Amino acid sequence: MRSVLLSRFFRSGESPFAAGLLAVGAYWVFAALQLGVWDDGDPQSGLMPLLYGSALVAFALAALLGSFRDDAIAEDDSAAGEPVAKPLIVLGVLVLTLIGLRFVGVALSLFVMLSAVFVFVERLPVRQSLMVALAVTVALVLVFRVWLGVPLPAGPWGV
Amino acid sequence: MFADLLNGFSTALAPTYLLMCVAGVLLGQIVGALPGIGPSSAIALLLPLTYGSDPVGALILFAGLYCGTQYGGTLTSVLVNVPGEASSVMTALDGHQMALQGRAGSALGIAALGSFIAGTLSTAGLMLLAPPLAKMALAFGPPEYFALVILGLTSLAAVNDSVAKGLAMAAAGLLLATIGIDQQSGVPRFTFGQLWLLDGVEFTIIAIAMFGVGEVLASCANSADAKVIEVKSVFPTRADWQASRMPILRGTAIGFIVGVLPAAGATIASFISYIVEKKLARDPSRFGKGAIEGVAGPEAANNAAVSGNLVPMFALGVPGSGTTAIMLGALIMFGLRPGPQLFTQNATLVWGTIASLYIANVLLLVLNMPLAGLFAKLLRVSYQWLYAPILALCVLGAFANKNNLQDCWLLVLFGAAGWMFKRYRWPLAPLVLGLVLGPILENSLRQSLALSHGGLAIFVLRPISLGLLVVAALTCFGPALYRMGRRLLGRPATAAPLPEAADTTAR
Repeated sequence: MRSVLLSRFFRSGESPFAAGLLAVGAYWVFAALQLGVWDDGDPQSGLMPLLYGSALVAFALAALLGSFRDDAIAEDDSAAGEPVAKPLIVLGVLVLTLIGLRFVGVALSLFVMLSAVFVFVERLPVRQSLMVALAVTVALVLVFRVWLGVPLPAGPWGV
Repeated sequence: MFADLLNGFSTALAPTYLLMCVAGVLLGQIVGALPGIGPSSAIALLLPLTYGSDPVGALILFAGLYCGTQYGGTLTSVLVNVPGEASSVMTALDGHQMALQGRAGSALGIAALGSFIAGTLSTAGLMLLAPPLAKMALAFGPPEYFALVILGLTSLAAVNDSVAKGLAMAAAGLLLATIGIDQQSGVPRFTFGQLWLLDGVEFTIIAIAMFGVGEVLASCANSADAKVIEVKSVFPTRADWQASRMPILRGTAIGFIVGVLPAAGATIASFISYIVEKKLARDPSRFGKGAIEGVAGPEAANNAAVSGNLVPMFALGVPGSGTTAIMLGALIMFGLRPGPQLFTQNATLVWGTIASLYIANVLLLVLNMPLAGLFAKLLRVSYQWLYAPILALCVLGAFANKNNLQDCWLLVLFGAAGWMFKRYRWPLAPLVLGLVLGPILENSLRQSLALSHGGLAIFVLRPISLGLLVVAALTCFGPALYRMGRRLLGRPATAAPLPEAADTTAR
């Protein structure tokens, strides 16, 4: 019985989420009590976090218990079949772009991000990819930095 | 009043002011389409340029820009599921699904038409009802705001497919809203020692992350296999119009009334409109899958809220939203005194602005109805080429919000979370609604408790507050009580199903 429940817990996408939200709610409740909830007829800073955290714990628990239903498992099995490799690669490229923003500036980071996705992730033609990446980068930098005056991070070359 | 309006038109139709209105509308649309740049930021950027110039022209420019941003946000919401404005989040739910079904033109066309109708009717409301509505807004104190937010949250829970998941996500959104400095006591909460979290988590970042980045991560896995979307209709059909006319009218009423309430704004108006349309629809399961009512209602509401926001600004000198707060600052900068006397002492300015709102709405329709089909054709570009620029736009939009990189990291974090939520079918709308309503809920509850020295009776002793709480309770428990009543009377718990040929549009 325990192994069936554990198996269902990990197969179902709902269960880890619900468990995660339950943990967040529990932390919020704990931290709210540290802040103080009520003092001499006046609500304190911790009142609303306590109420919200308690609500999250209750509803996440309900969702967690519901996730062990057979129909919830079947629904999540279909979600589990969706590929994750490409989204994770794109996410990784995004993270590297943000790191690059700080050191080499927005223009180069965006150009490299766009080129990398077009050429290496999507396997699109190289020449076309570089041209599109350049055009999009120039357009975005012009709109945000030049027209709207947003102080985008500039690299060592001032771009 | 009619004579004043005619004078207003004669002012607004002067070539210089007309040009400023056109410029405002066009700028507003572009700004609205860009995530992270809202109308308040755009007006703040333009403010120094108008210093020393004519206040009538400046206010006409700002009003046109405010109108334009509401539609601009719709463009990116529908086409690429990245809400350009907070008030366009609800439009993205069904609008983007319509685009994926080849009906982007219908979605954009109905949005343009709905925006025009709502904007025109609400401007008439501003003209006719500003003073009495302003008095009504004054009757809304903290207990009434609290009851209104409870009504919004319970309505959302009642229409969600999975009640437990929806309520859990709403609670998560409310939790996120507690990050930052407590507005009542000044105590930092849940900042984990980070200075940049003292201002809290910005709603715009979460919306762009969850709906934009999350959607891209969810969709890029199959980008190579994704068929190029065939645009089936570039204009709304007769059936689209018939399905949309009542949601547009309801959205107009909701947007205008909610917009009158200070701090409520276009975002809350669009949420309430969506919830109302879903509740009234004969087949609520269509919502989230391309129901045109889910576009028509919220779009009408967010445009109607623009005029609603101007009611307290003109009538009382109290800003109805962040954008009107900046506009109020502009009036003061020009040496004017906002308040009821503005109607008498500066009639040209007030009526010129009201007339320019009519003109801005006409311009929006004239510009966007023909362009709806053109915008829709952008979807013919293969998704393999589209999603990386969308990500780039999201990153810059997140940075532009407060000019810091930490918001970009939040974008990535919540974008990944949004991808996971979409993958495992957890609803996103309740989380963003909780984030929007959280501060209002907390402030109103704590202010009410402070007024009543900790007593809860304040919520039931005030008639407006009591009425709203009764409606909230009926929304929550009404269906269950109805089913119980039918069982007691010996009838089946649910009514007989409608015949298949029945109309599935809203009543």
